[in-house]
Amino acid sequence: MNILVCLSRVPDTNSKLVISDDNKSINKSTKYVMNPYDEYALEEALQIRTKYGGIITAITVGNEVSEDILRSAYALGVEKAVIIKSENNLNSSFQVASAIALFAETQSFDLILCGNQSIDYSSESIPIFLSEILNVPALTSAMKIEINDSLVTVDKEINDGTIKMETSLPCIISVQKGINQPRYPKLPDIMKSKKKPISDFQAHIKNSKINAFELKINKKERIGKIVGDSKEEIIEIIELLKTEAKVL
Amino acid sequence: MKKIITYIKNADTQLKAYNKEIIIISNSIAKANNLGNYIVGANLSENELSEIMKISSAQIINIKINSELLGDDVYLSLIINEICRKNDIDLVIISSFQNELAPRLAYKLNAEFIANIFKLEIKNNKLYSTKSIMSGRAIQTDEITSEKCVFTVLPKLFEINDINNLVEESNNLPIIEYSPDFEYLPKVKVISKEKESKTTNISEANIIVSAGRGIKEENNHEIISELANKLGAAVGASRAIVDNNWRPHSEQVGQTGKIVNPDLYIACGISGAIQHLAGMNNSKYILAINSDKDAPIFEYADYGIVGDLNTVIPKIIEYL
Repeated sequence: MNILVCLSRVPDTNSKLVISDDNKSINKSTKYVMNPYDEYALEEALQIRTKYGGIITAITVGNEVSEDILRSAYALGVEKAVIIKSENNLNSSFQVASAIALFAETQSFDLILCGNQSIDYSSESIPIFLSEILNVPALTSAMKIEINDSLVTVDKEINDGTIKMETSLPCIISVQKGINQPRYPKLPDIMKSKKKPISDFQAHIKNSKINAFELKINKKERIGKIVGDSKEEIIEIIELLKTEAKVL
Repeated sequence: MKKIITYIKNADTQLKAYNKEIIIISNSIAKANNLGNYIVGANLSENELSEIMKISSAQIINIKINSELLGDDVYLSLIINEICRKNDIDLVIISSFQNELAPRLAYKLNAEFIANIFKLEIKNNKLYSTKSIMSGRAIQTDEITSEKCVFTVLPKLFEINDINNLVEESNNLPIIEYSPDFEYLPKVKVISKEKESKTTNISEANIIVSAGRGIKEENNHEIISELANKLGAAVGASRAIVDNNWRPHSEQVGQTGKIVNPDLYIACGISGAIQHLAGMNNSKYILAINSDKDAPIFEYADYGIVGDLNTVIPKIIEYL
């Protein structure tokens, strides 16, 4: 099985978000990490390889600084790592998916795995665009993946339950949190990963008609009325919810 | 932009609340920018059609398809693409709940796509859409110069001007029935569907009662369900108690769970980790109940009660 796993590099939620002086982009000093959902995709790729054999290629769309997450993927045991680069700025999820698709077309992948969403832009559209561009089916929000020969069965999480869906390889699957428990890398493997080769793939992507116009920190003003737990105080809060907030 | 179309997902009997909201949103965009207004749905029932006509004068197009294919976004995107192209429609609005249909349609229409916007303006032939990014920590406005656009919108957060004038009298335009005339073979088959017995869906709920580590024991969760029932609210959970397997992942609110924006979010025994705040900080009002007066959640709350949830919640239930 030839598996492609797509990894995204996102600002770390635990570090402070700083907006650049142009009010259009995030300051470069921000700390980045592997998108948490992609950790599940990577773990799933490793488990599928254990069960069915094959090799795993990890990719990310970015530039030299993106190497760190590919090193992490090496430390966990992928066979190949590639940075997909573009000379144009990639401002839309369609452009990012197009870049991944250009690389995927040069290989013959049986399975493309992604996280359900990235925590930075959260559009959940990369697997769908890949499905459209590559003309292969996509199954999203997978909580369980089973493969029998070329038949793939996925349990998909929906708002009010789960659906079991079936398609055939090659296909694209995005995985939901909870599908597995991502492993930690071992120290010797982290050391070895530093010497592994990371190759480049140049993708020529058309400019987008979407451009960042303004970016600002989201700061919502809150009323901030905090009381104790006496009956009178609790009643006061309930009354405020009814009369001031008008939500009860 | 000349013409806007809004997709309404069929729900058999009654129009869903988020569908009504999205109709009002499209009315507001159409009115503010003088656009032709269309609504499209598949196998919409008589009842749904008459409910739409109570609030909108848009031209309704009802697609007639085999009901087994109703959930097939590939098929629907092919049909709606045909409809948009035949009618010169250049702006598409879809609820963020249909987040698979929208990018498929955008690709086929050769349109730009942006997900989860809560504001849209058109000035000098350019579109300006606004959305939360970085798990709700920042707000980005994009400028779009494309001739065609597809957006998914967050109904509960969408900024609408002049809301009182947006319920329109129907023009009583005849409903157009549309039957696709191409062959379609689905590549993905639905084998089975298991429904959880949930009364209110967390993503659509007006009120969410969410539990965190402060419930201390799995059995203490009953009190959370009881409060939720009393309020007609959905039940949410913090990552800590989902990772403990006390609650299912479908209830998790936060960075690796759902991003919610109810009118009222009641955080019970949730300390307020940044990853949790990312999922609920756009709620209209937040009530926090926590025994630790220094818990970060109180900095983000409109109302807070410092106390043990096991004694506070029964008092709330008693008074309600």
